[in-house]
This record gives sequence, C-alpha cells and structure tokens, in this order.
Amino acid sequence: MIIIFAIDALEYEKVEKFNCENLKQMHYGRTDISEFSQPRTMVLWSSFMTGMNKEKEVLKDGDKEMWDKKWDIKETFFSEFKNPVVLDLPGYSYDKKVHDKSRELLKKFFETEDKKEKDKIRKQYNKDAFEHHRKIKEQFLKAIEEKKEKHELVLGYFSVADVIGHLNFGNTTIMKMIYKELDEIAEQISKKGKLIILSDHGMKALGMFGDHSEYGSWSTNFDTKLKKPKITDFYKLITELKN
Amino acid sequence: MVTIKKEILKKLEKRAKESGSFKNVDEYINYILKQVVDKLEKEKKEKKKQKPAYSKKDEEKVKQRLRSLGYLD
Repeated sequence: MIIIFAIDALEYEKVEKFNCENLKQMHYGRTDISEFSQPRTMVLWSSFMTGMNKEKEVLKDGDKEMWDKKWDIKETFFSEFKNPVVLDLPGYSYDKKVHDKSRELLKKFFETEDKKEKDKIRKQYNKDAFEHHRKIKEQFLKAIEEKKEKHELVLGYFSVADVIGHLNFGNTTIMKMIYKELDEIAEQISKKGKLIILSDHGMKALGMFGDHSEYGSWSTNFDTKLKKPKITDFYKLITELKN
Repeated sequence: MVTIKKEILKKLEKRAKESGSFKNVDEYINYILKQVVDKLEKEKKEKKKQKPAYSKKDEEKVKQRLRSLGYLD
C-alpha cells in the first residue's frame, strides 16, 4: 500500500524546531515551488496529482471559483491504482462546504473591529478546523487499517496547520500542539506501507498571523534519490512505486 | 478522569520512584503539571506585556495576502 500524508502548510523549520521525528522519515527535505507565481494551495495540489504545472488552468476560472475545480481521475495518478482512497484533497475530493464555512469566518474576523468579537470568531474558526481534522484523521486511519489488498493507495489531506496557522502562527503553544498531533499520525502510519509525507508550501510568521512560505517539504520512509524535488516530480515517483 | 498513554505512565512511574521525593505517581504527575501550567501562564503574561496580540498593520498585510491566495473575496 502507498500512503500519502498530505499536509497543507507543514513548515520545514517548525518540524525541526518542534523536533517532530516522525515527520522526518528516512529521507526528507524541502520542495522547489519557484515555478509558481504564488504558493496557492489549489494550484499546488492540482499540479501534484496531475504531474503538470496547472497554474494557468486553475487560475483562469478566478480566485474564488478555483476552489470548485475537480480533476477527473483519468488526469491524475490515482487512476493507476486499484480502489484508491483520496480524502478531502483540493481539486479532487475537497469538502467545499467545510472549507467555505472556514473562509466565511475568516472574512468575518477581518471585517469586525471589535476585539471580543474577533476572539470569539477565532475560537469558533479554530474549533471547526480541529473538528474537521479529527474527522479526516479517523477516515484516513480506518482506510489504512483495512485489508491490505483493498486499497493500493490511501491519501489523506490535512488542512489544520494551514487553517489554524493563518490566524495563530505566532502562538507557539497552539502550533506546537498541531505539529505534535501530525507527528503522532505519522508515527501511527509509518509502518503500514510506503509512506510519502508532503506539504504544498510552508508557513512564515506575520506577527501573530501566518503567511504561505515559498517552499514545501517532503519525506519518505523508503530510499529515494529526491533532493529538492518539484511538486510535479511526485507523479512519476508514485506511479513507479507501484511497479 | 484523565487517560495517560501506557508508555508515558511507565516512564513517569520510573522517574517518580527514582527521585524518591514523591509518595506516588499521582503526586509526581500533579507536580509536573503544576510546573507546566505555571510556566505557560508566566509566558502568557510576558507576551501580553510585550505587544498587542494582533496588530492592525499585520492584519492589513495578511488580509491582502489572503486575498491574493484566494482565501478572501
């Protein structure tokens, strides 16, 4: 089984700082996303699953409409695998309702000038993100535990570090808790198959807030010649793992 | 009721025994938790003194960036 632990905004520097040993498997490093004009989540995951730079194609629909984009399985490497499970991945199986609600709260947070109201919105925003995380985690672990021959590939996309990070990156206590949680998931799945941990981009602090950084990160529990791969390089790597 | 992972509990029991300063592991756990909470509260107080949690300048910058990334209208 091939397991892809897809983590939005996992920051390489924080993995090192918080000493997340399981997020650093046998090989790990940064990815090169310099070919993209900005580190946009939808563009990066679309390029990852299709193996091609999809920036123009994703952006032509507009900044808001891009979140509606859904790639056909035939355009992705998922089609190479028997019964693939792909959970919540932007551009493929994204739970738009949940993420729309999160963006609505983000909008409200910036619209209000009232500090108490801001705190209230932020708490709700964080709560929703953790609840969604728990739901995806449960489905991800369940799919991995199912009979080995059932799914050749299981991918779980986790948005908690990105969503919470945007409003809380300067809060070390919250961010450390999230990284430790992600590290524990990596520990649980690291012996269940060939594991790839991948982030689209990282995150850098902007006061108490978080902004996307200009590189992503990767890690594998198997031998590979990757050094500073592009996000599109994983298409070939993953399809070759099947053989 | 709090659940503690077995492997962590084993380590705590060993450390409590080795220190010889605690009646049992419960007392040791309470001691550790108090230290952690005191430290966190101290850090929180210091942070509050340093600067406002969310500055208007940062907020404007992040708002612009979130718009260009497609998170905000």
